[in-house]
Amino acid sequence: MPSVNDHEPDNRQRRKSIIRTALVLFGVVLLIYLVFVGQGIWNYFAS
Amino acid sequence: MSNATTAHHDDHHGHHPTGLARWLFTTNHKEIGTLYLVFSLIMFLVGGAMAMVIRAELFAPGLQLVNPEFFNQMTTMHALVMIFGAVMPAFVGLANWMIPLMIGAPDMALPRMNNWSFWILPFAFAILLSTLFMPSGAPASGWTLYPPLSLQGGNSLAFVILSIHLMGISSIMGAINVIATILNMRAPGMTLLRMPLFVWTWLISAFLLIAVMPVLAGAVTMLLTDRFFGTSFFNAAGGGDPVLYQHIFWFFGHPEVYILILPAFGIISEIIPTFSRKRLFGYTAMVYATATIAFLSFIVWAHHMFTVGMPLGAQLFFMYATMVIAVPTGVKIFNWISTMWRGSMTFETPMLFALGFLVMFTIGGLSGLMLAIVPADYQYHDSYFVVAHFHYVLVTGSVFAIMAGVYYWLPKWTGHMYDEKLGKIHFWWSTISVNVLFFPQHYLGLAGMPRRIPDYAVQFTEFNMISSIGGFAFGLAQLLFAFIVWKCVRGGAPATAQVWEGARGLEWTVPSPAPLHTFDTPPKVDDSVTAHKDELS
Repeated sequence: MPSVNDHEPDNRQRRKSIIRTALVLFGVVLLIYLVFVGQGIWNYFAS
Repeated sequence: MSNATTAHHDDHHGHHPTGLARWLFTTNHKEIGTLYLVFSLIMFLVGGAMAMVIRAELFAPGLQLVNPEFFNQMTTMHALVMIFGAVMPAFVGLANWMIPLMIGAPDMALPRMNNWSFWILPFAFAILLSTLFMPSGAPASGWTLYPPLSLQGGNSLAFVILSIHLMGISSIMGAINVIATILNMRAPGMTLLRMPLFVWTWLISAFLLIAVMPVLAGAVTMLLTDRFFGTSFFNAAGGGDPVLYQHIFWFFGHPEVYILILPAFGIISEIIPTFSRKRLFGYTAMVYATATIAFLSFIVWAHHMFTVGMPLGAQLFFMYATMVIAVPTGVKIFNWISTMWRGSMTFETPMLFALGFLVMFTIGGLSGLMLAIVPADYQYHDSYFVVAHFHYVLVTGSVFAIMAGVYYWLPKWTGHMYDEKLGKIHFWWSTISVNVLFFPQHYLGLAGMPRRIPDYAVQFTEFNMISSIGGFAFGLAQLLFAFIVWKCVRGGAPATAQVWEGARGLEWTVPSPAPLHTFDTPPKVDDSVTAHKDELS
């Protein structure tokens, strides 16, 4: 059940900002993971 | 600050469950913090029991109690349990409890994810510990899981890699939560440069976690495919490179060391001003020093592997970069000393542990500088000198800081004062025994005793016996710690809201014990209530 304060524009703004922060950080994590596995694959085929 | 604990008109879910459901489904930062701390204490005792096996075997030369294979399983599991099960969850528990209270937020930014972050951990560690009962036994290649050795073990490696992935997911979610909370949930007026140092150090540690946990995940994924799916990332016979694993692992591993120590710096930066009855000396410099240490942690990884062979230029770079870390660390040490200078100091248990940290972490830091010197490292590498070094950093550093933090905030959590006399006995017992345990290991290493062996030459007997006696005494002292915490939770003298005379900051404006819901209405923050003045605003 959403909190009473959720209807206030400030809180909605904050919610959006939190979700944006979390998504960006998840994206960074995924990117780093793929880069490191990718360089392992690159290293294997280059050798 | 009367609105700090306003009645919770929105209890998020209408009612609060009790019993097991309360803990399984909780999204409250204080309850999740408690779960993390209890889990961490259990893992600390499990990892400690493994250390007792190690020290019992090493009490005398020759094989005494366990076979060499099991001994190596113990060293591997002890490290994994202590790093990922005890120290990291303890810091996350402290962060869950204290960060919202310190910045005036009602909860963490992503409470459901917070619940998930915690509840992954018991499953991860059940999987990890279950490998001890598998036919091939637990992994015995050391916590670094270096190939080719780790690839020559049994099928339990798959379970260990799954559990490492789960721990990583839990840490990443925890870190995202901390960053999202600090960046979005601060009370009006709580500017970045008014935040307590504990919040700052955690913010920086969370960024380190985001950056390096996927690197570890990548490394162990490649290890998994090498072992079970026929790839050859790290298998020289198939065209791969085992040294590549070491580079990737330590690109994770060295920042990980700072993940384990930066929040400890934050705790010490809270405690020393309180018991010196002064504001922290050089607050802004402390923030920059923390950020500098975090940056440098990314460019020093190869000092863990000087002996594998690398170009002279690379050795010089990694040696000097490692030494440079002493500069921001020195800034911190001197700022803590300057904070105490001419302060009205008292020596309650949290302050004793903070001072113990200051002295003994410095010993660990200085032996780290010795290890950074390339030609010297060729002698010290993989010897007991390294074991002594990182235990001074992680036990008398991280663990002492966690204990300082627990004693410092326990009255706020429980509403009771802990038994001060027992706390002091715990400190002195721990401090004496931990030095008896680890200091002789420097000499053993310098004399040439290698690490991760169950047997040794007879000339190492005396120092090993002394070390083991210290180990048993230190282990017993931690049972006293568990008793003190249990006793405080059960009862004790009532704690005031401020608890400590010199304490400053938002967390000390709420009653003790802190109610389940705090700061539903954001507090108004200015320099009069914060521990640090924002000199830029």
